[in-house]
Amino acid sequence: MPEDDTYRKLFVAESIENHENIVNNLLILENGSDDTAIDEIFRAAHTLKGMSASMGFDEMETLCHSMEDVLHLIRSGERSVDKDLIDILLACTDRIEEMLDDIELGGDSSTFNSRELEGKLKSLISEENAVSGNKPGPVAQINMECPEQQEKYSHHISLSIDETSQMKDIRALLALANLKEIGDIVSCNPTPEKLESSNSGFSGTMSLYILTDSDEDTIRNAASVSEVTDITIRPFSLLQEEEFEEQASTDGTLNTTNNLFKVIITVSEGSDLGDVRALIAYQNLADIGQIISSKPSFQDLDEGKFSGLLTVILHSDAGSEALHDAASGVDIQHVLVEPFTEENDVKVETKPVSNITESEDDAIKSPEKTPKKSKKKEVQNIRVEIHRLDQMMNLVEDLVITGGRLRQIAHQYSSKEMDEALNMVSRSVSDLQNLMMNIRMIPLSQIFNRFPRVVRDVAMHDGKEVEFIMTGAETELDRSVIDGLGDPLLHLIRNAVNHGIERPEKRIMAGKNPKGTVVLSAWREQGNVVIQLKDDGGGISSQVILTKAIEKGLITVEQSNNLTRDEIVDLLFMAGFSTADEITDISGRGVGLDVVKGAIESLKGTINVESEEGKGSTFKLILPPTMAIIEVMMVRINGLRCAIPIAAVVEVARIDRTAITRIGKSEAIPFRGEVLQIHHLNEMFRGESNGDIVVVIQYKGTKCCIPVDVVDGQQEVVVKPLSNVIGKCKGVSGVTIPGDGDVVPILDVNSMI
Amino acid sequence: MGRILVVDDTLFMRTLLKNILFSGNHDIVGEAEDGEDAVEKYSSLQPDLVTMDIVMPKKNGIEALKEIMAINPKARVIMCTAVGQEQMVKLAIKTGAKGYIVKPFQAPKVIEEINNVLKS
Repeated sequence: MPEDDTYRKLFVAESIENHENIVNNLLILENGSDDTAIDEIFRAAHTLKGMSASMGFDEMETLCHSMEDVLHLIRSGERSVDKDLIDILLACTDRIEEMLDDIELGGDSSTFNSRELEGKLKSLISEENAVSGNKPGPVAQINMECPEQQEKYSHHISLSIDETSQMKDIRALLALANLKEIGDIVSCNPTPEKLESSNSGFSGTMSLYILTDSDEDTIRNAASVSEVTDITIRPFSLLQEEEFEEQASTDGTLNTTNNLFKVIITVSEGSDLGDVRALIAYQNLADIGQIISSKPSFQDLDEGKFSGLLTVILHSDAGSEALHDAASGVDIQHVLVEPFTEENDVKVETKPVSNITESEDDAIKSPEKTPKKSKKKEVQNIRVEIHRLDQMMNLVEDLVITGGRLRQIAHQYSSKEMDEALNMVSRSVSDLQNLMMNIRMIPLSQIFNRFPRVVRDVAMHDGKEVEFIMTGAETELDRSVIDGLGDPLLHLIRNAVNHGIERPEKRIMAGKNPKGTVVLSAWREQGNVVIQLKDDGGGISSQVILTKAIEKGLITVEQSNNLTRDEIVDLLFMAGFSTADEITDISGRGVGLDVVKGAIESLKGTINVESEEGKGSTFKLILPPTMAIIEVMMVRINGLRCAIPIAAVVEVARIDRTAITRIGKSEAIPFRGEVLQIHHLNEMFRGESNGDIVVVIQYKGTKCCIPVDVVDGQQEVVVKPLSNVIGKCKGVSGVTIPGDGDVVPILDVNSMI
Repeated sequence: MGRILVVDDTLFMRTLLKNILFSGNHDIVGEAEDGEDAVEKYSSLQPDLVTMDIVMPKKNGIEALKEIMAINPKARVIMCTAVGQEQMVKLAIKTGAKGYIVKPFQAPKVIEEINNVLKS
């Protein structure tokens, strides 16, 4: 068993994909029969089985195998899909998920006992058997048309030409030609050459063996040329071997040790699929000869009727050594090749026939089967560990920074040639950077995929009916953003079903469809990604929020009277606020929307909610597609540089310093009809700017201004997060390193206002 | 030794098989992750031998085998199978597959099978 760490990682990664695939398709299946969904589930379960078997994770393999059995019944239409079945299968996927968690941490799934689940699965099968009497079919069956194997049978034909005929040999040749059209002549006495020769000495009786799929009547018609008086046709099989030999030796039909052979093949007992080994040997022999008969027959082998010994009688020009080689192979214990009858030099009419060459013939005959001009497909996906991408990204960033330094140095020496070369370098670096950014983009489906299951479970738990619709799952975000987005979104979705959607009876009373709708959509808008979660539930009640907020001491009664509807709804995001009366195990766990808000903001995103009582709520998240690069305004305060995210900048303005008024400890200034607070960043910059330039910034409708000495300009910068050693640094969200190698802080506007 | 095209829808299985094949001194000329991909790569790479998984998306291993046999009736294709897939393997053998290996793979058996088919 491969116990290599690489295999384990690969195993876990691909198993998670397949697991998700099963869950999502089970949910599709629950909403109505869907063949594609069944096929997908089946394929994924089969893949999980194969991979876990290869890793030696027996518990997981057994469980997947049991699932496969049930899925097979669904596929073949022998078991209908109902809630019980989906529930059990989903329970199995839960168990698989637990196993995968265990395996990821170095376990082998053996600590999980799944006998109970397997028992339930088996009861699903036996229930069905009791009803329909059907047995579970072989697993891993693929629904496809089995090409009808044209079974050819051997016949012995003897025919007599009227004694009065003047050209008996020509008559015989005509009959032979007709027979050739419906089958393959294995052996003929006299030989066609002899019949064709000028003095054939033909007695008038011809005896031959033909291999054909035609029935006896067709054979008789073909052989019935004029002046043929008597035709006897007998089917031939190996069971009549003795008779055949006797016949052959008496009428001299089969009489050459050069090309008639009997091959006896013994398949070893330990072979995984002994009958298949025999089939392979059979096919290999058919490739180099004409099989007259075999025991067991091809059909019996195909049906698995095989005891370990295969005897084949065939005609072949390849020689006994080649026959021996053809019949030999993996799991073939012994091969015996012997000539079939006693010596005679009559030549046998041959035409290569084998079951396999049919495909060759087909390929020639039917143009649609001829190989298409191969168009080369060079696209190859490779899987790369994320930390390697991160490393690469860091290197690219370093390259950007070093490039900037080089440029500054070049500037000092003012060399035109060097400038040109640097321009080319920086173009390549910039392309490289863009490429890296794109590589790191992951579709939202990565986290969206688990939500349908969540909605289903919460709805079932609460006795609600919910239709969950997702759109825009293909929208891409940087993986650092995706990583931080899963949990907050999960929380919002649980909330929407748990708190938002009403019970069916309540919805009917409100004149709504008893089935609620939750829509999760995502799209790109002005360089950002918007994720919206909309429900048509009861909406957020101002009264309930106010009562709760006052009860929890978040606001006073007086304050509550002056709040607008939007401000009231915003209370939801305050720390310590939770509208659920008791903490449920669905959306509770003591985590409030304040945590969700914090998580989104740490991703440099914003969240807001619109809600109408009785109609539903809409949560809207606006996120930057990546956190690694942002556009900033570079300013200088007290001679030190600082970057302000452009998204927060309203404008740069000149102020009249005499208009500054003091309000308590802080300063404010009237500006375009508003009074703006002035933030002096003296702590951060060991002194303050006394110029008359301010940068006006805004966060969620609240503005303030920061006095600065100089505005250097706007540029895109690479954000380097603060290391854990420094810890959280109020007012600074990260740093950037411009071309000169300086370290410049990036202002965290959210925390300042 | 042989130039081999490995077909399986999971990277896990392909990696496993590739390492076994490397240990048997075979060259991997390409990998395909579904039946369609397999047929295209067969045409463009013309490998000496193909290891073909059966249950795959887009086009399963049997359909891919059929198309490969149409391209080259002498193609050497070995089916990768699991216990319980006997009927599929037989269908594959009748369609022209030259051998099969059973999951979970045992390296010596895999190499024996491949060497044997390459010899033919």
